[in-house]
Amino acid sequence: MTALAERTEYTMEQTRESTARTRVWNVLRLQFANRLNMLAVPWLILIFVFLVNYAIWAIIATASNSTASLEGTEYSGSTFWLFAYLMIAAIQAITLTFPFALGMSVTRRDYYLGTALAFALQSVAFTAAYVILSYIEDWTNGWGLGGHMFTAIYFGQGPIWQRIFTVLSTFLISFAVGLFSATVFVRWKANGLMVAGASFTTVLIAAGALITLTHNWMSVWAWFGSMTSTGVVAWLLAPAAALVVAGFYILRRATPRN
Amino acid sequence: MIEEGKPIFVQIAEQIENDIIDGHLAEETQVPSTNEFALFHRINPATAGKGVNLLVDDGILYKRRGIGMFVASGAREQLIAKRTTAFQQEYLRPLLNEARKLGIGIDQLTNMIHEEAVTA
Amino acid sequence: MTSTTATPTTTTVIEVQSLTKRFGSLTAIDDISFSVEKNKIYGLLGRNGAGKTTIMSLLTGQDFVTQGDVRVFGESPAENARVLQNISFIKESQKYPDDFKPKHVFASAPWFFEHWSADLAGQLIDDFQLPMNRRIKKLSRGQLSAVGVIVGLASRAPLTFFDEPYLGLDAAARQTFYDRLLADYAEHPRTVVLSTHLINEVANMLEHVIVIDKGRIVIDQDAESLRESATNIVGPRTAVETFIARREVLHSEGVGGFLSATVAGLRPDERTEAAAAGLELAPVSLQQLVVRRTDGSSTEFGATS
Repeated sequence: MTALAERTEYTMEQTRESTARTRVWNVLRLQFANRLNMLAVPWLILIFVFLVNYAIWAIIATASNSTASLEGTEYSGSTFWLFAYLMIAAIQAITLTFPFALGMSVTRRDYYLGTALAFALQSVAFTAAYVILSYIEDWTNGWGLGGHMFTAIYFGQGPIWQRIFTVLSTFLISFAVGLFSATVFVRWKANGLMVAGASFTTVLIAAGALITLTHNWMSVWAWFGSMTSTGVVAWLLAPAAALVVAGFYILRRATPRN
Repeated sequence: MIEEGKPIFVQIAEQIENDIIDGHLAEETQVPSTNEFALFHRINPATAGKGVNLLVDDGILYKRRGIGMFVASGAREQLIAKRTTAFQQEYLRPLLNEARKLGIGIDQLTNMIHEEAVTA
Repeated sequence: MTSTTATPTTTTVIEVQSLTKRFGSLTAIDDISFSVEKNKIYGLLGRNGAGKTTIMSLLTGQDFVTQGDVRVFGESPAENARVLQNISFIKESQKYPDDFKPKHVFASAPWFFEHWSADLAGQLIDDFQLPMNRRIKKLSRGQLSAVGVIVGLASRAPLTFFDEPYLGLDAAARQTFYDRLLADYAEHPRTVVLSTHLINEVANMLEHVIVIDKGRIVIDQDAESLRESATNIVGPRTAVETFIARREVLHSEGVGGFLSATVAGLRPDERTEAAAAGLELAPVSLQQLVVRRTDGSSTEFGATS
């Protein structure tokens, strides 16, 4: 065969074997490429929720001419929406990028590790921002109106280590639930999610029934009361870790079937 | 260009042969590369290569290392000789069969040939 | 180059042994075995639903084997990064992240495909006139197919699968794809497996043909010998019938006093005999061969490896 132009054959032997680190890093990059959902939108939600809160505080303060009437806002749980959104965003991120990653010849293992790592990094970033905002809230005395959004009682108050721990754990737990739900969805689709949701609800009901039948509600409330939010969150970390591990094994047999 | 029928590599070989006989490809000149044939005819390069190799085996083409395929000296005469032998089977035989079918005798046939030769 | 027998492992990139895939009670792939040799263009042909996509999914680790053995580059491909980074699998139904644009796809592809050629990608983007800044969701079917085709070609993966990725492309764009594929394959040889039902369009490009019907392999032969394995005989009905009397007939159809019959490949002397009998011999196109073999007819001739 004659060919005057260069004939270069790219063989398997020639392909430099990429390390696991590079491959996982590439998945991480993929998760962050143009992911408005994951990066920009949570902040938009945060700003929106904050503005709503601020408006409410302003109205109340002006109407009653004192900030004392804002007593009780420290029970605002409006940042809940941030965590809820991140859980959903995690599910979205995976359902959208998993088939694409498979199409880019990525293994499920590398995909899971890269994605989990991406979520962990985001948790750290969001935690930093959240904690900083909580301090600003302190220093401005509730944004000048005595409002509490980032320093809700049971969450976001206290010494710095506590704030970081509680907030970071909550982010991680939200992502863990999102990650797990996403793998269930990718593997078993909507039916799978329903079954998982139904199972979870059943377990809760069963637990509730058990407590009722053994007349233990008092001790349960007492226990919750004695725990700070830090404690509750710490307890939830173990199940969250279990979810993350479970998700890995669930994804291993998932296929990109439409 | 490439038709259904004869194997593709044979058609490639025949096209090159035709070009040599026509004089489009002079002896000791370079022949397009296998890839160029493949791309031009939209066929698999391996098939094009097979056609070229046919001619190499027959001594019509030869390879100059590092440069490409060239038409061998004497290729044209070689091909003409080969085609002349084939002429009888491929053209004359069917011609005579058809003539026989139509009842055209040898004499009439010869006259027709002379006529055609004059006007062609 | 026309051997149809299995060659030693150094030139075999895919080895499949007794592969079976079941989806519940449905057996999609039924105990098939074949091998794919290095640096050839293979056509994986068959009707819709025959199992072409399933086979490719199994070979690329995107789906899992029920039974049997698949070796790609000597190893099982599932969850095997070392093997997978040498494979590119482009399919029509490929999903892309919602807010991705073509530019994101082509920016991220090089991370996963080491031999990615930005030059080739750029040329193809021009050829297909692909809008780089439009959301994937908003692309036309043809443009979406073009994205897949560009990734498949520019990745220059040593083993490249195309699963009818050009369904959305119009005839001119398809021709562009074939031309670019041939050109790049000539410069940078690799193993290409192409599945399609537009057989006529790719017939001349294929070096080896594998035909799947209802989850089974019905043809596994190099293209050249396959083309020579059958001939159409056309002529007056009685003359044709006389000639084919002692032969295996793959197919016959007639109108009026004429009959056209497809028989196994004829030797030169048989061809002369037919011509002498006033019969016309016509070639059988690859498409006709494949169609005839997958329409339920169980006539088998032609070597299978």
